[in-house]
Amino acid sequence: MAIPAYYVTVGIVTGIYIILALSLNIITGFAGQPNLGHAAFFGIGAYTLAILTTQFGMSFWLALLAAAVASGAVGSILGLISLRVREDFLAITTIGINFVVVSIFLYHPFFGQAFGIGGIPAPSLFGVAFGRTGFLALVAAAVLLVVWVSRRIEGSWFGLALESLREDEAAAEAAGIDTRRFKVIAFTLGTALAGLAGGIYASFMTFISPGDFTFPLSITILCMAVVGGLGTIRGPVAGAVILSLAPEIFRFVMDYRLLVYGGLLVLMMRVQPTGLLGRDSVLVRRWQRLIAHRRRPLSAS
Amino acid sequence: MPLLETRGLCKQFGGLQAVKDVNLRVEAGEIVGIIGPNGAGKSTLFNTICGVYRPSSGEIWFAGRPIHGLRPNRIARLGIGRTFQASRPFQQLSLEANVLSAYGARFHGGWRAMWGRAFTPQHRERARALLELVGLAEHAQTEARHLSLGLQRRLEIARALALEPRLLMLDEPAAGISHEEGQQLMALIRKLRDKGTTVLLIEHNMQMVMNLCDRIEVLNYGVQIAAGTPGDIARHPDVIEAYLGKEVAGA
Repeated sequence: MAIPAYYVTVGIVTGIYIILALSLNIITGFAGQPNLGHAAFFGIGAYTLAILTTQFGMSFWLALLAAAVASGAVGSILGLISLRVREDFLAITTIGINFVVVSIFLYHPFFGQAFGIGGIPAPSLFGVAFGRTGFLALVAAAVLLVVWVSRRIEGSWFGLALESLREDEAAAEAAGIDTRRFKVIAFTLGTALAGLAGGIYASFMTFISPGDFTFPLSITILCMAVVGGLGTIRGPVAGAVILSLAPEIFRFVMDYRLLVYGGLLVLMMRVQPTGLLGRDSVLVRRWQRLIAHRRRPLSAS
Repeated sequence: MPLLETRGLCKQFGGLQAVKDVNLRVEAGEIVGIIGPNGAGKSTLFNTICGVYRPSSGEIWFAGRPIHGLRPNRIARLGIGRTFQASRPFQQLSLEANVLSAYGARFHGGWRAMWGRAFTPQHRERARALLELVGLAEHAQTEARHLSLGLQRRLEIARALALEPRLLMLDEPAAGISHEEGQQLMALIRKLRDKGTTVLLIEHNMQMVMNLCDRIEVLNYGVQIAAGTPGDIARHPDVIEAYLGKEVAGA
């Protein structure tokens, strides 16, 4: 293949960010539950795959499934916690979970402590190990899967129930919606998909350490979803693409990453709280007007 | 057998007894009004019946089965639709989506059904019919936050009706709406009753309660002080006292 390795790597990283932003979007965008610890679930998926493949010789594909299941299992516990605490406290709880998970990776010998885990094998299909291009294809497939899941949610009874509970929990209950059950499902699904991204990431990097899954990454993922537009599918995808390419194009963004992301969050909340491509955003309205403008002369003739 | 019955229902918040030993009976097909001064415990009684609060003691029976202790969504799906005192539509959803959210509750049981498409022509037609009933069909694609308070109240009724409830509970449906809207609301409630829905409502608008209700229950300080037809209630000395205060001898 003629695509330079650098672009392939950028593509893979971007794809992983898209999965993370979309999976967070299920929890925070559709169901409206704050989650400032999404990186922890990315990490649980990564460590699950790393340990299962390096220490137990499990195949990549089975380990990837296990990564999603392990992450979703811990996520469902967070979902159960979310039933007990109010929204603002839930936000703090999720931050706490991020720190606890990273600390466990960092201090428990089983997880390799600060050295992390290395020598994670690449997946292979029909006896051929994946190269960079293979990974790109794998990530693309995973992105498609997550987009497909998101689209299935959107406009289904399940998605409508999530949106209702996001808008008003008491009113959703009065409308016959079991808000507790749907919150737990949203957390489980969203975190399982983050675990899937983690598994792919671990295998692609071949080496992971606790520092890869810290709180700033959670903020980065949240920032992507918010900047693009929570609650839509196009929004988090666009946000992930913009914010993962920005540091590649502008060096200063790389150097002042958190400062830029933090500033961006504040700016978005101030001028465009629904996100660049969110519902009713300026860009979307402009676009719709443009389309309407183009159609009018046709229908008039 | 009454459609709804409370037996010795009590609700306490700390030291405050908000609802005290209430025995309420609502027969199928009736329009029953609950009146009482502010702080009489009307909304607490409502919320306890709907499962928002757990009763401190006593029982609630609906259509022949006990419902006390059940969660609000369960009670809603058993056939009690409700509105809130301060309107609570899903602000950022279209009116159509507001109605379909409640209509969809029937599909939440099975994992597969849950993933079914909500906005099919068939379901949208159902939502449209409900919006039509409350006179909102033309706004089906508008987001609820753009509606006036009066229209939001109607939307809430449409959403409650999407559950196809046997009992509709309205918490001050006429509060903050114009006289004309009030008239339309009364016509709507009568129409629903004629279609077989039983209605239990809290209302401060006396003219509306007197005109609309078959029976009235009066609460004061959490206690039932009177019950009867509108005519009985209007003449009941305890009710007059509760509303106007005691007449001072010789005044």
